[in-house]
Amino acid sequence: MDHRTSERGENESMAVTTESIQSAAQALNLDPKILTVLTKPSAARAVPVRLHLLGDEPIYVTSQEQADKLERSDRAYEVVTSV
Amino acid sequence: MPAPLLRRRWFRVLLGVTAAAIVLPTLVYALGGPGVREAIDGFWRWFDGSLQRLQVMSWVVAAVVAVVSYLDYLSSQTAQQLEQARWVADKAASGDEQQRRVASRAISDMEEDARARGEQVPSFVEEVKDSIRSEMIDAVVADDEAVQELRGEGDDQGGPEPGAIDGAPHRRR
Repeated sequence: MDHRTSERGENESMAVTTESIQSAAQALNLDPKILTVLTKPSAARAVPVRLHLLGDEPIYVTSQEQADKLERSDRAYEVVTSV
Repeated sequence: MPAPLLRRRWFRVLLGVTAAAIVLPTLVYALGGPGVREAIDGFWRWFDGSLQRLQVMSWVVAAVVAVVSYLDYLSSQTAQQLEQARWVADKAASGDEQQRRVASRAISDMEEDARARGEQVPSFVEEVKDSIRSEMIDAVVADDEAVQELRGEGDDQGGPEPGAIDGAPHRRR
């Protein structure tokens, strides 16, 4: 894979992420900046969690407990929005 | 053979007390002076008034009992609905596909029942959204770096969006 292909791949991946963020932010009535910040890990937020709501892109939270809660809520969200 | 009623002691006592209760006040009323009559009249006026008040009070008491019973019914119904909602939320959040299908069916049934009764359809979506929002905001708030980044972005773009982190509008707890 040459450099250009790799760059395009990254951009596509970023586009999906941005789209997921926008749609999730809209669905949750939450500032998209909060979701954007959560997509990048930091010293305080190192626990990744993949949510269906965010197109299974990882976001980083502070604890495993928080990740578990988010996963549970994400699964519940899927159920309640599918009814 | 049982003794005639008049020979029974308790009956004679009862008869005597009743006669005394009728005859004595009548005598007192007839023979008493104007002061005594006025007092007796006053007593009966008070007695009649009390009966009327009692009648009004009985309606009030009945109304209060009805309202309290209705509120109790509503409260028990709400408690039952909350318990049901918790059960559904628990199943919906489960990692087991089977449990989630059960939750999905339960939600459909609850919504259908609510519509059939003309009641407000329970909103599970808002509850779940609220929980996700709350956890996400908590993750940001616990991270100073993230908070600074958000504040910085907010400053660059003319101030942070209202309720972005601090005092987020839908934050629970």
